[in-house]
Amino acid sequence: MTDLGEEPTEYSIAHIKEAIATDPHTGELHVEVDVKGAAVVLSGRVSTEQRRTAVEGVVLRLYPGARIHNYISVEVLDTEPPVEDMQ
Amino acid sequence: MITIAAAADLHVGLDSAGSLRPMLKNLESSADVLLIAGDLTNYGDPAEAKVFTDEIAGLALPVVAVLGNHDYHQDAQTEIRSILEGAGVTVLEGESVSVECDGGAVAVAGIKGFGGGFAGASAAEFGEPEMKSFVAHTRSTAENIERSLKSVTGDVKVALLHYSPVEETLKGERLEIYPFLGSYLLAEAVDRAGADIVLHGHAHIGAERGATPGGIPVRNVAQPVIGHPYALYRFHRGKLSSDPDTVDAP
Repeated sequence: MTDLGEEPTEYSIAHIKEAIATDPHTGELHVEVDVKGAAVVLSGRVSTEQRRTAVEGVVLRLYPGARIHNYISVEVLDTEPPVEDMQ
Repeated sequence: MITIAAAADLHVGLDSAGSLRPMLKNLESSADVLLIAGDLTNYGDPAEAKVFTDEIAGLALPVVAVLGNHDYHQDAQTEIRSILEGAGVTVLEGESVSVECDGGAVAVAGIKGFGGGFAGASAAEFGEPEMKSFVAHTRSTAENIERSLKSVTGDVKVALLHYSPVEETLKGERLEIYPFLGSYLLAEAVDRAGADIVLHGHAHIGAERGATPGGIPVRNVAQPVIGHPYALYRFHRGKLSSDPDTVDAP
């Protein structure tokens, strides 16, 4: 695998998104990825803290030298369900 | 009155044990049936399906589900279905069921559905075999939901999908991925057959409320959209139909 910064940024972003989607520890299709120099910026929402952390591991396996800015949040659910009256 | 609890995109993983059950504690007293519009598991792992069934164990209300794309990821959908059915969940993939509840009968026709896009920007069965196969799969699911909706009766009729039948409930998602999130063929089929509501998931950044071109309410109940494991939809009909507090849905 090419190091981060040695390939066009668009390819790095695509490789990272693909890896996060298909890695068994994450399986997340809704994480946003940006690459700024040697840094990978992650955002979006996941269901658990374990998956939030696991995303970093996936990136580092792909680009071991990357600096990671992890802005992914863990979903916080409302205590009461929404209710709607239908016709 | 009939109250439907609807959920989608629970994405239960091996790390989810214990997280869902506390959120379901008031479900039995507030709903007649729980309908799940796919992606019960996160990675399509049968062990994740077992975590899910442990979370809902002992729930004293009928549960009906369709599978979503995540549930297919490891080609273990048959095993996942078997685990769910073993725990009492009715899984629909082109079938229908009528659930007798205290408030009346809830008729549910369910199938995963598929993508292809929406009128004016949709794929056609043209060109390479892979492209024709993609659209043919969607068309087949649409024909199936139409057939199964026509074959079932109840006080409330529900089309249960994973993919979206309309663009309206995708708003918030990137336009470029709309063709992977749903198809107008599903809406057209539901409009032909008739239903009281369409429930779907899959679009995590979409919007909750929409309608088919024929005017049937569509609700995207993906957990990240509704902010809770389930939403409640109350239909003021059935055995106790004269509730004075009815508020019309927009």
